Amino acid sequence: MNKPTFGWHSLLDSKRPENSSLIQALFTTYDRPDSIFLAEQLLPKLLNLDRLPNVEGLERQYFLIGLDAKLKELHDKIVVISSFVRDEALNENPSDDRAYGWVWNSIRHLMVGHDRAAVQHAKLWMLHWQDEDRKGQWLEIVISSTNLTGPAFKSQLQAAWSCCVLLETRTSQQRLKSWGVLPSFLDELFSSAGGHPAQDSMRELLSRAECPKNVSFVASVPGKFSDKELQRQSWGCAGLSKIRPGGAGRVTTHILCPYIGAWDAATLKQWLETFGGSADCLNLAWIDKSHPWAKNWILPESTRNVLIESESKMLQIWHDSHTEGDTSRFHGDHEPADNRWSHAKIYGFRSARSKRLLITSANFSPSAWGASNGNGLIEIKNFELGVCIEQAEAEFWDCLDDFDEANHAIVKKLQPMIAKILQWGQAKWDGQVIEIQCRAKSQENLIGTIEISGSSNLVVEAWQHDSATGHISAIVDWVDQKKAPLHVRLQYETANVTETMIITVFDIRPSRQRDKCLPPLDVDPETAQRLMDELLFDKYGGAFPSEEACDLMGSEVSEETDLKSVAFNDDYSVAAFVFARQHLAVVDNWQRALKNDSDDPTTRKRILRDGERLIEAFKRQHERDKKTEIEQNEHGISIGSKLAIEELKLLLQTFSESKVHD
Amino acid sequence: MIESLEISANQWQFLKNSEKYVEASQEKHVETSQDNARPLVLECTRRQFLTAEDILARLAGSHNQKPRKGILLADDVGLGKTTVAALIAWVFAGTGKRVRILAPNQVMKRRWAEELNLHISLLNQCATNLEVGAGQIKGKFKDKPNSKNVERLKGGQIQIATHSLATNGKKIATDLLIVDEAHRAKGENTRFSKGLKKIQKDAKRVLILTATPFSIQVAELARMLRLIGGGNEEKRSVESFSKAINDVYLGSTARDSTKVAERLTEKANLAVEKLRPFVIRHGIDDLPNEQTAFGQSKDWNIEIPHANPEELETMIRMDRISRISRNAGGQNSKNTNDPRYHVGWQHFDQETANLATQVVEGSVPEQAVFSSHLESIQRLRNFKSPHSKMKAVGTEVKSIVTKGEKVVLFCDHHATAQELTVYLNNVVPNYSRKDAPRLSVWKQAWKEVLTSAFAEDDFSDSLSEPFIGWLCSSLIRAQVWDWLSSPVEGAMELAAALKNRKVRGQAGENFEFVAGSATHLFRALRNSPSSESILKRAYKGIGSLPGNKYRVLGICENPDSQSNPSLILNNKSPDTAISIFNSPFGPDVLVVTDKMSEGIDLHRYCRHLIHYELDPSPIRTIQRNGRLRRVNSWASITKQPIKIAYPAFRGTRDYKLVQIMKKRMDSFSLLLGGVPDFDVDEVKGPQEKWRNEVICNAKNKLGGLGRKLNAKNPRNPDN
Repeated sequence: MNKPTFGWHSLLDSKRPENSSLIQALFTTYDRPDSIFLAEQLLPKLLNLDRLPNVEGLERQYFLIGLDAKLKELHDKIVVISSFVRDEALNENPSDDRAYGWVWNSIRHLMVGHDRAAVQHAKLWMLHWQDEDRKGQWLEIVISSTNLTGPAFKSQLQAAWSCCVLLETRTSQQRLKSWGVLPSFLDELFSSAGGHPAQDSMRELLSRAECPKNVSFVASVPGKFSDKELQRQSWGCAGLSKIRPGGAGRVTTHILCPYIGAWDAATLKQWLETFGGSADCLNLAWIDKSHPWAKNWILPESTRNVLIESESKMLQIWHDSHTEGDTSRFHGDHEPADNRWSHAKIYGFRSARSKRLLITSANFSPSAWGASNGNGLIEIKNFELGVCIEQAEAEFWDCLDDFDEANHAIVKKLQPMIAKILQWGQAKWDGQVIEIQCRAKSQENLIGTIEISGSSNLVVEAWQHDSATGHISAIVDWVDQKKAPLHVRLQYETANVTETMIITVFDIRPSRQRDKCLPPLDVDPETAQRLMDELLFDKYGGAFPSEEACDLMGSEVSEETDLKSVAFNDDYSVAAFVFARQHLAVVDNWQRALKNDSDDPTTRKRILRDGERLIEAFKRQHERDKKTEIEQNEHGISIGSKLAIEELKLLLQTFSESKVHD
Repeated sequence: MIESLEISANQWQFLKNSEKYVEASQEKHVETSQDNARPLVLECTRRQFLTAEDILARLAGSHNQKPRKGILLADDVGLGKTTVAALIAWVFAGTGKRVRILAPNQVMKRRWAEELNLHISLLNQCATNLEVGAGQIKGKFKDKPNSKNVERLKGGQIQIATHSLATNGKKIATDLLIVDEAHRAKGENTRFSKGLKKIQKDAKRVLILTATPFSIQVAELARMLRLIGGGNEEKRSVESFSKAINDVYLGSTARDSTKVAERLTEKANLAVEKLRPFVIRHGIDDLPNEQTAFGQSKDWNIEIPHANPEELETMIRMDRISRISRNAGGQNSKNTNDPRYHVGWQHFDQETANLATQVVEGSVPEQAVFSSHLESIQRLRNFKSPHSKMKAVGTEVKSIVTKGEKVVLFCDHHATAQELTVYLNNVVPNYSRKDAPRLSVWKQAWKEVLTSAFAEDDFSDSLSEPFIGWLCSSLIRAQVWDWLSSPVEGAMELAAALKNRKVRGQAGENFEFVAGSATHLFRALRNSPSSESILKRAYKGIGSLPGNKYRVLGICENPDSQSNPSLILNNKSPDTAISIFNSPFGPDVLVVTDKMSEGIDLHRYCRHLIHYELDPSPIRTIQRNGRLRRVNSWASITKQPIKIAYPAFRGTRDYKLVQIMKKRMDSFSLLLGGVPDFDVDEVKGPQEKWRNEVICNAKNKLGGLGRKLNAKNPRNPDN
């Protein structure tokens, strides 16, 4: 067992103020984001959901509806940028998309490679928070080695850095500048992903806060760069020159990475020279052949030889399979029996007393840091991002010793990189048609299948090629507003090659139409609608029905129990008044929210829209209440919902930008 | 050291022979049919005598007991605490001791005088060793409510004064001080409380009459115990039990109800054990032999229809609009869901009118919502149909009075009482029997009846004429004519009929003659200074006796200026109206507020009580019921049950209040009155359910707890 401070959940811990809520977020990942992990682990924390996803029965239905409602509220405000990983078809879990594929109707999933080949390997989170009374806003930044997948959290050890900074109201170029390469990195990243408004809003957030002291960023973006260009914008290894420790003398380097690229002596020397390092002062933490991580850690034999020949040191991360998996510990909280393998990428630089610690996504590879392509240019293949902390150091390096090279865990050679046929894709649905765009080396042998929530698949019948952009596109009709397309499966298949790309379909319909789609629930549509209505009431302080029923009963209510009959038969409450006050309290809270947020047009618009939704929900509630009146022979239950509708209509009429739809 | 009383047990020997005393009362009743008193009931008298004997023995230290400074008599209402105390007072006075009685008010002061007078002839017959006579009773009974005169008492005299006597700071030496309704002291620092503390020092013995022990504040109970010689141990035990009770009603309901019940049981047993030497108490339900004398109580279900959607909508809109007004800082800062809104429309309409005049501060949307609700309320209230609950209760009341019975209805609010009175007056039919003799015939007949009855008495015109005038009013004539089954001709024949026929159309020896009842009523009126004053004013042509126009009479404070004074009395000392209702004559329906729930008898001709609007206090409800469930009640005379109704307007707060009250009243006797008042809006179903579980658990173990405080035969205390 891991201590709580070092368990995988700690990666989800946030430094945000209590009771704050998310306004927008950016996540970057290499692997295709894992819908189940996002929906069941990450989003409930970020969106303050109080229902549990893995519980049978109504609780799960409430969870799904609650998640859906929050995501709809933050429609297009959460952006995930990833790479297209060619072999993702092999890792694909069909149940993943069936269970939670709908989240991508609201979360924007972008892939890098819109214009040219690129690998997105950075692991950056930017979270924009707002406190409860909407007076303060914060930007939380997390830079780590963690992809957005379940295994990345649960089966791997990761290194992460985070900060949460208070946002000023006004923007400032000076503040933006304090973030170093980060704003430009974002520009490049969004550009490679085909662009998105979040690019500007994330830049704006950076311009509203000072970068924390003693922190700087080191980033890589794909491309071929001249020295001049790298002097202007220090991508890749050029960025290391900016963080080299002070003081004269050579820089001692320590590296902990699970993946080591193919380095030759010259490239290695060039890399080291950028920050004043030397091969004989390079220390690579590595594992022996019998180490459990050996199946995940990769070191080409050629690189190992270069390192040995250049008198670099290989330091052993020790492991004893006979003593319950005892291993070298990364720090005091690291439990010896931890069976997770390290995916952390940590670099330490030291010169005399000057120290730098780099937490990054970048493995020790030329693809990540760049290498000369022989034409005088430095070629970088990946987006990488790291954060350098001044005068910080990892403790564990001092505990590692040399080990016999015969025991080094090595591979003969790396898998050759095969150019991908499918390189980029995106899809959106406007309620009428699904528009698919992709970048592929060939239009032939391309099969597109669209999976629709609760319906049979559609097949893309015709592809168009846009010679200007080089993109291949298709338009497919789909008008059923209650069944949203989930994703497009692009398949390129020949006798020799099979490639599959999963492109999520983003829903760009107006919010009223989007509201018509429900997540897949295990209840009939009527119940689903009731649960949705209840959650909407709950959002504005309405007593949660099941809680109310429990309160009335004084005990836990089983799902089989008829809540209403219990509530009416064994209670002294005056039902008509209880219902009325409960419903009208929702109206009051809604009105209060509107008053409190009258300065923020976006929020105001959302609350006004909620007002319209509340009217619809109360209309349905009114019908339900009338039914209850008959069932329980209890008059007056439906009066509260009737009055709530009446008041909401009156209130909304006073706001010109809002229209009430009967 | 407690001073010796020098009264021996021989001097209250008569208390050992209740049969003789009852026999004497029956003989006297037959001989003097004019007497207002109904003959004593043996079972009740036996218990009252035993109680008096026990108290005397404890005070005097007879039968090898340690003499006690005082006793607290805490019988349930209606069991005759005054009778017991009057007997003890006469034993003291009859042996040359001085007695002072402190009554809570003038009405009760007269009630004491009546009670003491009642026993004079019987004691002279059965307790010849005692010197007993009317001349020994001292007290200013004319209307001087705040009289603080300290009578210089001689041995053998009984002074009856109000509580205010205790507050004048003068030394009032006495052998026996009786404090009636001492729990009204209300607080350590009140003048009465301080005065009591002081004057008890000048009293050799103290007898305190009070309500059910734990229905009063525990501090009051502890103070009373101290007055009669109790110490810290007793104080601690009652405080401890009181805490256990509070714990049930106010503590966490998440606990194991069995354990809480065990604790309650333990504390209750301990408290009763400590109270036993100081307190004597009988619960009305613990006296199976006497139930016939009180009248058996029977549930009376009055079916009220569920509040209809329009009624509920009107009330909910009012709740809403009041909240909006309150939040906007409007005048209506009180209860938005006023209990009055659930039982009548009068107050509701007044409040609506008030709200309509308010300017609601706040935003335009809030004002729009406010106005919209107000308009809807006004639209809904345009249909001026009577309140559903009133309508249903009215139907039942009509049925009761048509059968020749009287009924009393209690309300918690004056506005409700007013509205109910007016409504009932509209639905209760007039007497229908025709062919009644002419007015002059009636006048002559009544004059004949009353002149002969008061032949030896002072029967001045200034009192008799207005009384005869009242008897000859259209309502009383029609009422009496309804009782006389066969036609009569001429005044003499009518007078004979009045003398020979029983009241209210009844037959049987237990019932009074019409003429006799009129005589009793006249005597009662004459004995009351306020009634006498009304008669004298009527003689001068100013006003008249109440209850001569309508079969319905309301008594409540501050009726609005437009109300009919013949229908609704704004009477701060309602002696006259009460005396009339306690006679067979006059209104058959009495609507009152809780002003009338304490210390007033309504039982003599009425066995129907409707709690139209409950006060959220179990003790108050018990006291209301005590107005009818008393010794020698109409129920016991007619051998019909006392019918008490708790009509509830389902779907409203009124219904909730009734449901909670019924449950709480069930535990009243069990907890010796320790059932607190409640705020109906704060009582949650599950919590109340838990409390009922605790009480139910405790009930099995505490069943006979109250009986441990019953009076014991001092000669054989173990039996």
